[in-house]
Amino acid sequence: MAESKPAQKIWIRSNDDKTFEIDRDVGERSVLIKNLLEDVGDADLSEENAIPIQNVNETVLRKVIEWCEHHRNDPPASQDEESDARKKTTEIEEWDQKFMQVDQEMLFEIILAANYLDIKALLDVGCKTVANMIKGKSPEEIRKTFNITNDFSPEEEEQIRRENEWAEDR
Amino acid sequence: MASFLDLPNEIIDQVLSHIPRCDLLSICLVNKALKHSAEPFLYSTITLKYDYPEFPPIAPLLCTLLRRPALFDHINIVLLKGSGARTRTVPSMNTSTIPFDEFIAAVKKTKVQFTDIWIDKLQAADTCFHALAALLIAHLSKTTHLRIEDAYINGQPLISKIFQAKAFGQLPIFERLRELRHDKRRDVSYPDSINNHIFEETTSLFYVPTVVDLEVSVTNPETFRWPAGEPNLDRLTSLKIGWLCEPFLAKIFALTRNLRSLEWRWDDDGPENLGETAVIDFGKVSDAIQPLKNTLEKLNFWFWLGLDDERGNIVETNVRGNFRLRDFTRLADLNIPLTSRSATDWRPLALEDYAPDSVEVLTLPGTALSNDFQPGLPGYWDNDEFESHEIVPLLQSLADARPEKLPRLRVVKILDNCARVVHRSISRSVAELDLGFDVQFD
Repeated sequence: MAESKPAQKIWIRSNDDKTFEIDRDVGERSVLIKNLLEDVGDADLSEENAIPIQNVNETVLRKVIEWCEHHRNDPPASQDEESDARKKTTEIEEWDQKFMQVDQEMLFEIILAANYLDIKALLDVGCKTVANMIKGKSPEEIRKTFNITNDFSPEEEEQIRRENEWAEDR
Repeated sequence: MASFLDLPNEIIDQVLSHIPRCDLLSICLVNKALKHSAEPFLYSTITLKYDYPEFPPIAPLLCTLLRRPALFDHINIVLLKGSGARTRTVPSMNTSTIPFDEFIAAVKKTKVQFTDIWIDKLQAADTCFHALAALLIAHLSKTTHLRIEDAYINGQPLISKIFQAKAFGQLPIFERLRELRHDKRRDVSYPDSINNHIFEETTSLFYVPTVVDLEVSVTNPETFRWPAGEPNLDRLTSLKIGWLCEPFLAKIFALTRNLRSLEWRWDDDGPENLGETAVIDFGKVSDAIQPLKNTLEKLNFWFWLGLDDERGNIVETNVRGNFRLRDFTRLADLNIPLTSRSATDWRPLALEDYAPDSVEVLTLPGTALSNDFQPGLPGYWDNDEFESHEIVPLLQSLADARPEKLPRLRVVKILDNCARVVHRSISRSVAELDLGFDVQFD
């Protein structure tokens, strides 16, 4: 097969029919898109033939593209390098923190989109953001934050406290 | 509308992986769905710290686990921390709140031969703690990492019996235990009758069939005999061992096939030798590890000098012989005492003459570098640390030898209690040298 220069532009289409023209390397932050592109000849890349992103709407996709553009030159994350120690930290770089200052619904939509598009670093930032919303909160505060109903009886709550008594900070 | 609880389980798990233990406790109380997700994280690492004389909450933990045995399956890492029982009597546990009936039933259910002894120990206030630790370990089967420090095992052979029973199938086996650290300290406060059992107790750890990384201290027996025939040590790739001397260690190396990392803490043989002069012969040390010459990638050999024998006597250590490691073709990471210079009739070789040319990282422990030999005592060593004026010529001589004898050397690490002081005083002169390798002070 002849060596061909990869197309500089690609087109992706949200599930509400908005087509975005983006640089190929921006799109390839998504492993899903990267794998699709490998199966598609350059000749087939066109605005009319945009790659459908079935699970993501225009607003969310725009946001995800913004993230990918900012991070287009990040070095590829090596597999399995993430040690348990690093996993435990919830440090998020400043730009990402600002990026994630969105309402909760949008935050979860971004996380779901990152999961669907297989953008590991974005998914990770999203999960850390949620973890930071949980840290240091009481059970009641966590319920309020995420609008969760308590489905335990007082007896059940007491039993859970007793079961986990050994793990309390001493 | 996306909400937190609508996220797929694997994403919730990823969120929870970033949550510290104290917050996992709160999450378990939020609602049933989140409790279900958070419990595996809460139970995946069990750390119990015995902070003398305060006991860790092992009884309440066992209560929960025995009532909900499925939780045992979540336990990946167990760290039983605590040392310092040396010369202290074990405090009595407050046993008034302990549900003995449940624990005794659990011991009986194991059906091991020593349930009677186990139950006796459980009911005695001074051994209850050890019996509970044994009960915890007996039930672990999915654990991958297990570390037991000496407060849990000193003077108490029960846990060794548990390991034997698990290794030979009388208790549920460890299915995937990879790393086992059994940090038993020999204790001069115990009579020899107890210390002499340590050999049998600790050699039983070699039979756990899945372990690849083992840390253990083994006393020197009168005659070396494996407790149950030769163990299969093919899978063992990393061994950290203390106390055991050259001839006995050779028995272990005769069985390993794939040992890549060895950390050997040579020790004069404890209480019986205290007050006398210990002798360390690097030639004999080299003989003992010869079977590893085709597999060993990392060697850390060290010894402790000027051991205080608790009666105020300092045990002197004499050094003789030379390392012979030139044949160790894969050895890339070397941390051994430097024996390059001496003003006495002991004539050690220069490091580059006994280290193999595969060495990439060389670590120099500060305590063994001193040139401060006492007259009349050949090769007498003491615990003086680096003198900064010694380091530059040393590094220079390594740099000179590098092209021919240590071509792959890229890092020299200098370990020293006063490394920072040394670092400050000589970092500039080291930086000005064109050595061809990095120098790091740890």
